[in-house]
Amino acid sequence: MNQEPQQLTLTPPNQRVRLGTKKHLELKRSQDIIESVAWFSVVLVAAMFFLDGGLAQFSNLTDILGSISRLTALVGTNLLLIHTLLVARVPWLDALYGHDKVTIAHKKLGKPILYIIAAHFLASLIQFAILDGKSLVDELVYLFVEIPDMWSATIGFALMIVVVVTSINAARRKLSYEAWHIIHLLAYASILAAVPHQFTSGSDIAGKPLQTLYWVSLYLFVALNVLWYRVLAPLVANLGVGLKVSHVVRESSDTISIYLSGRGLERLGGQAGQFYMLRIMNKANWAKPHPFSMSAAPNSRYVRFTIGARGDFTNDLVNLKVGTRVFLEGPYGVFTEDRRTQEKVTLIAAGVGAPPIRALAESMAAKPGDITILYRVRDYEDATLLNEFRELANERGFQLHVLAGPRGNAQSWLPASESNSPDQTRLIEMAPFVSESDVYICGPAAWTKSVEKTLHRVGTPARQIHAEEFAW
Amino acid sequence: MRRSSKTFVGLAGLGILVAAARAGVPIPDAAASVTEPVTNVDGGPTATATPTPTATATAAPKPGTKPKPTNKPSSTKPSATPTPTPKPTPTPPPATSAAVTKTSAAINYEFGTIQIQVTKEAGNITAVSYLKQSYTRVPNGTMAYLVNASIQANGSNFTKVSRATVTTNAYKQALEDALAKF
Repeated sequence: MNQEPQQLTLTPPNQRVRLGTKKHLELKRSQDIIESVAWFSVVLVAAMFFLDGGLAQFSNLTDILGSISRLTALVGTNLLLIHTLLVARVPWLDALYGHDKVTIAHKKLGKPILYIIAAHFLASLIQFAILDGKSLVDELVYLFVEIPDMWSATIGFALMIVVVVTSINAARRKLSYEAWHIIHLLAYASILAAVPHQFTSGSDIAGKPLQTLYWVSLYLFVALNVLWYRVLAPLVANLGVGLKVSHVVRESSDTISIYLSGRGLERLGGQAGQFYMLRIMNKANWAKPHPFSMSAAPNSRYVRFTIGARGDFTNDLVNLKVGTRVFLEGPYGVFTEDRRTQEKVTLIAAGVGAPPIRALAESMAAKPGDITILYRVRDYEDATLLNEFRELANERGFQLHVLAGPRGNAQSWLPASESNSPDQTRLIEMAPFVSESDVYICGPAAWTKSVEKTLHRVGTPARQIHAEEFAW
Repeated sequence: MRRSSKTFVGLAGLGILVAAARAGVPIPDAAASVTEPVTNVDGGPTATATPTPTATATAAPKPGTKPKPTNKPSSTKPSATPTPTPKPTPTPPPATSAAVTKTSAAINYEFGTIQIQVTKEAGNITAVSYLKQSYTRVPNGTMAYLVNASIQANGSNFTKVSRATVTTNAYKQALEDALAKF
């Protein structure tokens, strides 16, 4: 470990910030537009199917099965492409929803899509079995062997089952992240394997110029987004900047800071409060990206991450060698000043949540008195970056409340106190402007929920509450 | 999404779907299925245009002459719905009671050749038979389905057989070729 002491040099704060509720409205409007486009894309494929007479022939079982098979294929594929776009980490989705919300939406869509595709598989299999007068097994073999591209589509379907099954919570807990991730990458193979049969055997694309145009452009759009934002853009940025570990510093009994330096750090383009996926490029860790928030406002000297030594990975970081290359993917997240709408700001951090709050405090545009910081810790020795919080508060004229000690009762997010007054009373005492301020909360999920509940009681509007969970 | 936008977008989407579904399914229209009485100007049926040796028409053909019927039986294509709509009995067509058979050209396509014979009576297709049919890998019953479908639809306006798109199209081409000769 490199213990070279760092002179704390504060990065000057942002000089301007746009405030006002109009910003929030504009955000909502943009979200509505994106969601409408997604919804209408599904409506469009279904409508094209109906227009094509998809419902016209319902006279016998095979016709009905055929219609089900076609409709589920169209809707399922469309959703699958949206689903893929949601993990492409495209900045225009991330900026609107935040990486966490996008990932949650991706998780929610997984199972329904599998059911829809399974319906397509079964309906077409049964339909063809009836038409050919074969048993289901014989028909499956026949389709697999005889019909062009059906073998790869069948394999794609099997892969998709594997991908979804390994992602349900019970299975996910038993797998290491790395194992799960490698299996999950099969999803791309699954989609690619299923593409050909859609164009060669499908009834809804071949010989229909409009439909062909729609599907080809949708596939290309998603593929290009994935390729660029997931693969090429991070590669280009990292090769250009060439980040290396420059210092590793112990901050408290169980946290360390890693300083990275490189050429032209401004090119990374992050904002305070955002996080990166960190890949330590050594033998053991290059394939395991981990999400960490910047713990200092972006500047031209270094990128800093402050990390609690908790998991296998973070314990290893203590022994990280100076000069090790580091790959960053990102920046991600909307836990930034972009979301601020009010003049007053209340920053609330607990334990591991301190780094992004520390970075936000450094970079937010504020007059003395505008910002109140509540920092919840177990005890003062554990309070990582505490000196920096103090220096920031002094220098910029912020209120800082360090809240140490075990909590008062099971529901409370504050330490025990003599007054025994409810959380909301104590919150207002510490941060009198809390109901008319933007509140940024970062800490463990359950604790964050509890803070939000108190904020609700003191009357802070939901649109002024900003919290982000790590999800990847 | 905000609730108001959700409602709006949801309703608009449903509206589009319903409109598309209605446009896609032809609604049976009693008036449309009334066939005009066919008047055959030159009385007899004309010889088939294709010089295929198998061109056997049930009605006596007049070899050599090829006068195009000036008044084609412009039977408006009835909708594809198989339910027979009650027809307001039209004035009995004078010369249509006799069944007339025409032969299509032999349609060569990707998987073989199709040539059919179509019999019409009173403006309606009553029978179709294959003179040539060679095809590969179409679902069982495809060829029979095509015949039944064209009789029911009284034309080529019926849905194709899944996995037999090319064969269906070739059949329709043959059918239209034969129908054009009536």
